[in-house]
Amino acid sequence: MNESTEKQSEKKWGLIIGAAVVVVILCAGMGLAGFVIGRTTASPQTITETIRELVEVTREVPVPVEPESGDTAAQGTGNNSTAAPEQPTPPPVKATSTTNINPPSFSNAEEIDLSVFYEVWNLIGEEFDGDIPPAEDVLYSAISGSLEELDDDFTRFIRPEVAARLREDMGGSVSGIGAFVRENDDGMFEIVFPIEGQPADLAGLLPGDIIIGVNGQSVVGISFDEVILMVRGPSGTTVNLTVLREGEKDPIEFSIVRARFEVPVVESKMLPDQIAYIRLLEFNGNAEAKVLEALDELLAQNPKGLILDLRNNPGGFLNQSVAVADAFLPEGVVLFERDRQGGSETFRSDDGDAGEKIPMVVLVNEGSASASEIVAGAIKDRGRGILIGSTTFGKGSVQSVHQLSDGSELRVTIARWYTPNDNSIDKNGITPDIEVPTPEQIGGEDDAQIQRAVEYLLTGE
Amino acid sequence: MSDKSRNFLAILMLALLATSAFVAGYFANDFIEMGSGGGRLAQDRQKFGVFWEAWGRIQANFLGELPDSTQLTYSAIRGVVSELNDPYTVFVEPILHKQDQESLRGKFGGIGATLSRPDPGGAVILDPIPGNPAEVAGILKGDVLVAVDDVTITAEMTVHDIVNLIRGETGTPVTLTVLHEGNDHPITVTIERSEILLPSVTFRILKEDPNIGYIQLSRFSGESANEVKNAITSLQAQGATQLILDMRQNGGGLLDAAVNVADLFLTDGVILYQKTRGQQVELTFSARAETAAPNEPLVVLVDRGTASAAEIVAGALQDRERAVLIGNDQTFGKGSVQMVFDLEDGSSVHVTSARWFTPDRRQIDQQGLQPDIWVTVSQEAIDNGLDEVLEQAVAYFQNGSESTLSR
Repeated sequence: MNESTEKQSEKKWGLIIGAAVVVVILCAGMGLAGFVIGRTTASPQTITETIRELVEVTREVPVPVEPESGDTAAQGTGNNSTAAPEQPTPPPVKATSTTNINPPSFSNAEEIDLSVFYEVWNLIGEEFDGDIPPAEDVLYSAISGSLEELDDDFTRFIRPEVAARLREDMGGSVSGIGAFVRENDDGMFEIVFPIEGQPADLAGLLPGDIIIGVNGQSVVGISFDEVILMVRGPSGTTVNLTVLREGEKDPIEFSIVRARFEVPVVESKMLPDQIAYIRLLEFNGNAEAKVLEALDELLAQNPKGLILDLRNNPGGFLNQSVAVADAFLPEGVVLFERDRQGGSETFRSDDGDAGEKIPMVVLVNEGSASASEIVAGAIKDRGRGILIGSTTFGKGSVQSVHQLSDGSELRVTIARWYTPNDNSIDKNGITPDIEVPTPEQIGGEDDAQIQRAVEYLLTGE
Repeated sequence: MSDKSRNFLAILMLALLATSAFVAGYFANDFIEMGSGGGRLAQDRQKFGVFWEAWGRIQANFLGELPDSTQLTYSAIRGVVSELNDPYTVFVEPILHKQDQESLRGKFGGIGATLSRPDPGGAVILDPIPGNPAEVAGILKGDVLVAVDDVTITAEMTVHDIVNLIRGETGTPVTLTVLHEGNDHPITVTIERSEILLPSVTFRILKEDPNIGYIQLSRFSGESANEVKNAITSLQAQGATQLILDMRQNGGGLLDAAVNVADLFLTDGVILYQKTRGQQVELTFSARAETAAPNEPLVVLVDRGTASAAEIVAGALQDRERAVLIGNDQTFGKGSVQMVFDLEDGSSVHVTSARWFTPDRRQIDQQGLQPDIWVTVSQEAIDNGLDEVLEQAVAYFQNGSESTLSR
């Protein structure tokens, strides 16, 4: 029985806490854009005010992957159905193949009767006066459409090319022009900011630049996802961008050589008055390592206190959130997770980590979601530190990531998680101990939330 | 806004409610046979394994409740249909589809009266449609509705709620308690519900000029051509020598009805070309000799809400120089043809399968029609309940075309 093996390896690699995922999906234009864009575009000058995407290239990187057994099952089922094309409806995938050691349960999925679907589809193929989309678009829109019935924003289907990009994004190391981009309110492809020292920055791209052409082809009206794929390419290759810049009458042409770089995930510094500051931008595959690195460097300078800034951090991997929480927590519970069968799992921290002693404040706001809320909730419930800022996003569900046989990805809400005091933060978010509204510019000169955190750490109140 | 338009045509509204999105600008072509399966899509089925793969994962893992498999299939269909980026190619679920057809045919179960509530939360007033059961049973225009069966009307009930009480299966009785105007004591009237003929046409001799007959056509149902024909005959009998056909806010309806209405004003020649995809097949719709109003000067009133079947009529009459179009805006520009296919489970799918061209081969779709005489409507006139477009039509007849065309 591989059930437990699969479960474990999923736990280790496959679980994604959703808001990061959702944000990524959102900016990929998959249906919820208004929601998060509205929440995150308040101050487009900084990375975290926006929905983030990396312009990069596809390459093999050590990213979290599906458990092997799951992949095998997926391959097996895919082969099963392609082997029987003559059937009037595709055979509901059955675990008949002997290579299918650990088949998922298909007992209900089997009952899905798509005959009306095919009837409609064939009528459209014969009669529609217009362009018929490619077969894979039909398949994918059928899957996405049917998922609407689940009434769960976090259970989502992701096309293969987007899934490949997201996996790489979350891996933490990518190649491309090195800029954070977003789809702005006008549906245009906007540079949020170029990453310092990376190709886009060196070529002179500026925050607010609008990319209207890639390699001589107009990208106006092309989906955000597609533009990202066009901008990307292997390291060392060149991409030509046509850019609109405020104050410039004519578009500017840029020729940029793509390069591989690490996604910035941590910003850290020593503030005046010996207060250590670590900002974590998301819980990607590098989060724990980068936090520990920053922590070691700052603790060596004997700070009086520490600020962990999780504002506008949309989340990421569950294992990373547990590891980051563990860096600051002694032995104890970080979170409980419960699935629909009543199964429960406890994620714990252990003793002996570098950041367990220093007085700390966690900064949160309405953009702190999911994995960020796990860390903030654990620090708060365990009395390890206090929370300053505004009420968090409120996403208390866990998604598992399933790579399907064609490389597409399915993210399924499988469980809810609960803080050490057994509270679900879903929909309500976490209310900070000291409420201070989010400033215009996070990390700017008048960042009242940081100022309040410093004050608290210096005075104890 | 006039009293008339403030009157809430509740019964009609109910029938149209669920389907208004389609009725406004879709056109059904019932006589085209449903195609058989096959084609390029069938061979793509083998790729659909990923669909079950995905749902297998959901079935095995999803935290919440699994959806009904039929609804899931419908959602999959909607997902695919939306991929076509054509607002008129739509999938209609079984229940919706039934109402859809009812309203297009101008028939549904009811008593044949409109309900209105002039004051919010106030009395609900009945107005029977001539020739229908409510009138036959003795309901009078202006009756106050007190109760439906044993349910007393309250201020909290919406007109919609009340309509739901009154409507029901054809052949079943409903008892209304009503107060005739000027009476102190309510009476009860029992009415058998039946199919109601909803007229798509109203007409009158204009007060401003007894030579002008005014016909308002609100949509194209199966009865529309007959109704317009009867209106013309009646107006002619009353001495009308000039006609106004008001198709403002007419969102369309059945193609046959449009062709037949245009035919009432044209003795011969082309009304419409319909080209199927790839422009490979062209159908020509032409006028027949029998014509209700071959010669009367004719003005057609249009606006932004004149769509689909209404644009066929307006476009044919304009190109054939049979009518002058007067309006404050160009027409909607809905010139694609949907075939409606009934599916085995009672759902249906509307597929854009052809486009329309006027007799001068102008494409209606996305272009719309330009009025011959543009009227700039002032806010002041709207506020005062004046219809400047209609006034312009009257002026056109009274002053002759030359003076007005120069505007």
